[in-house]
Amino acid sequence: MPQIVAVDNANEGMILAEPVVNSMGQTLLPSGVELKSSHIRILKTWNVRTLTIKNEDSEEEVEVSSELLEIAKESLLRRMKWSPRNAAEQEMLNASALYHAKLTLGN
Amino acid sequence: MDKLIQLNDILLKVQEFPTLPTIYVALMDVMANPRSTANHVAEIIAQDQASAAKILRVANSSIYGFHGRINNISQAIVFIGFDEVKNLVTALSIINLFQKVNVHSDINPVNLWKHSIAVGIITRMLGQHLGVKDLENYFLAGILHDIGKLLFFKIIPEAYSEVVSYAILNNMTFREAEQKKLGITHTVAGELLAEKWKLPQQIKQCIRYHNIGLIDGKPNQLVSCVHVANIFATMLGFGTTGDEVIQEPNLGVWQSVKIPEGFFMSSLQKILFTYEESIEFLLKSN
Repeated sequence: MPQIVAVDNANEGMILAEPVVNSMGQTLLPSGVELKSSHIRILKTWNVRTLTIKNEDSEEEVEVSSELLEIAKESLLRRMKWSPRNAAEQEMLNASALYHAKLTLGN
Repeated sequence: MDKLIQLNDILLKVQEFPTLPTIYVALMDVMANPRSTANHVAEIIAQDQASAAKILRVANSSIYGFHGRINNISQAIVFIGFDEVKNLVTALSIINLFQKVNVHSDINPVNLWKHSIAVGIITRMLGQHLGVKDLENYFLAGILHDIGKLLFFKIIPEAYSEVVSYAILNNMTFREAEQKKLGITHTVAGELLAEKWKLPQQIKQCIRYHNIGLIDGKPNQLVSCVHVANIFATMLGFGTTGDEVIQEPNLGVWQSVKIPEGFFMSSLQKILFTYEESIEFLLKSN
């Protein structure tokens, strides 16, 4: 899945998933380019703020084991002292647990 | 139980609290005048270069989704609207005002601001997904919901640090501890400050009622969105409020927050990205 990053956070080696286009519609960099530090410098001078890059994990989406997910969920539930009562609340818990589990994996 | 400080002293300190900077006041005057144009507003903002630059960055950020297409303040007014530009000036002025809060406890004002910015972002995205037409105030309401806590840290730092410790030790919510030890909660004090600053009615309501999520038992879409966003940001651990306890949503809020299924899961990445992008330029000192 392509990911949007701020140019300020762009690093060498990232691969563009979409071309970088300026406000006149001219292509500055085509997609597929591997970013070099000179690219990033030029993009900043051009006032480009965001890039769409290929997600490094796109081929192998990080798998969060159900065990890790359960641990994350339990530690949230300990601070919640309440249980989800409807679909929205359940989803808030699931999404938060997934986020924390991924953080643990250093993703 | 002995109060840490007299309620009157607190109220007096709120009244003596600084007003918002002149740029904000000048902007209010211009906007109140029906004959003002976008250029008048742009001129005032341009006098403060630091604010102008930040406003352009926010206007171009993922919060609004114009990705670098806004080049000057006049354009920002056209794209995101008069009121939203005014709100950004307000947010930046207030963040600036509270940046030098000295805190003698575990809670760091930067972390509180991070939490508040996350709440602002999520509140606005909730509003968007609910199809709210008038999204102005959504971002600002989220950002300012906990202004009362920052106010306490600024005007009564020692006493409030004690309140925080007391809440954590006794496993209480902040509001319970505040009521017991100060005789006034951060939501009520925050509303008083908002009143003094003449902030919009909707913002005042969110500061006052975000913990309950309803106004006098009645649903209110913006207040309910801030309520849900506040809980979700706490669950995600974006910044900290100091409260270890994750509050239970008020069941009544789901009447006005009829969010499509899948919102929380599918918005996660966008929330995270927008959050990381925003805290960098909103909290960076000039």
